[in-house]
Amino acid sequence: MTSFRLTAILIAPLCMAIVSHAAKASTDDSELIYECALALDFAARKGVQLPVTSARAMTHFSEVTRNDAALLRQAKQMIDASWKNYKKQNGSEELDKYVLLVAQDCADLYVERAAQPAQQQAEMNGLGTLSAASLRTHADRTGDYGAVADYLVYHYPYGKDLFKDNADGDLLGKMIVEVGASGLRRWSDEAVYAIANKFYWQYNPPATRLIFAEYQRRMRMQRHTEAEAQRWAQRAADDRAAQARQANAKAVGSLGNGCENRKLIDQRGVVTATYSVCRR
Amino acid sequence: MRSFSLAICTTVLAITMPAVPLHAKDPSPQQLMDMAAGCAYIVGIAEGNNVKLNYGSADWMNVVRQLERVTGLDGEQSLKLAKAKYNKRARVMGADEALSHMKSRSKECDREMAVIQS
Repeated sequence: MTSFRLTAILIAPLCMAIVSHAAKASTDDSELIYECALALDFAARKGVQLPVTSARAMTHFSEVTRNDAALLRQAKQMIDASWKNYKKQNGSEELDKYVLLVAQDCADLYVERAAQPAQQQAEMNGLGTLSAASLRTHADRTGDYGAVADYLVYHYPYGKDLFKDNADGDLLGKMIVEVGASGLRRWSDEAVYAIANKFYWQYNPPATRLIFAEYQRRMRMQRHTEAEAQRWAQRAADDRAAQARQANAKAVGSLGNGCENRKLIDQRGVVTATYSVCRR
Repeated sequence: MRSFSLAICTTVLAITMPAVPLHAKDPSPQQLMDMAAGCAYIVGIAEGNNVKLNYGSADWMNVVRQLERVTGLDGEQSLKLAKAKYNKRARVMGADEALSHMKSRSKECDREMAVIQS
């Protein structure tokens, strides 16, 4: 009976770890995925025919952990310890039965997950920009939160409409809390100044505190006074809005100066010099 | 100074400060930040003591900001460390010697900035 209880306790989070599609299937569930892989491998060695192989579970594991060797080691240790413990308590026969049960459940869960229709995230908003969900997955995948912040600040130069909810603004606030103070140091000046001077979310006090701290340190570094900084931010926002209206903007991530580097090329095709040409 | 930021990002590793021996390996980001912050502090002091420089402390602060942006390290911490280092020097060697040392160092920092900006 203990085996059923144990498996019931262990399978429930396992279910969540496998079936939850979002990339936020976080790393503390990853050892359950690793346990799945080990159990499936054991079952295959015992000759039990299952529709899912342990390779599938291992690729899922590496997806979730992004090939982090430390997490792999940690997962190995935890699973080894728990199985050893179980074996000591209940005997090796019980352990075999338990592992086969885990393998069977894992196989069922993977089959169920494959049977779900591939979740089509809405790529585009109603406004024609990328939706908050797709921006979120992009940020999770690439880890480049600054680019997403630039994108959002470009498309909302004056902040959100104060009387409506705004998913993009809430996403921005959550991202700020996630990257923390050290991550905010990498964000561009435009993003930080714009977010500090306009309203992007309704209520996210930790994000507000973080962004104000970063805003103040950048102001100090550039020796701006409050009014100068606001003027800078206002001018940058007007610039962005004008670009958006004329739709002559360059791609995401190039909010900096309006300069491009051009090369002077000889007749032979050799690059002689580079010069920069600035808009305005 | 618009193309300045691009120049910084591409030649960040070209910063070789007077204090680093010539056989040193490529400086780590933390070392770069410390060197840039040291120069920023020195140039600030030198400006206050009527040394004629081509590039002022504002330029050096821009360097520190760009480094902060690219590497994510704490620039204010490096600035505080530089200030503490020179305070200690002033205490140990005497304020006059420290000041003259800083003035000569600021000329070297000027040369470094010319290298960076080119």
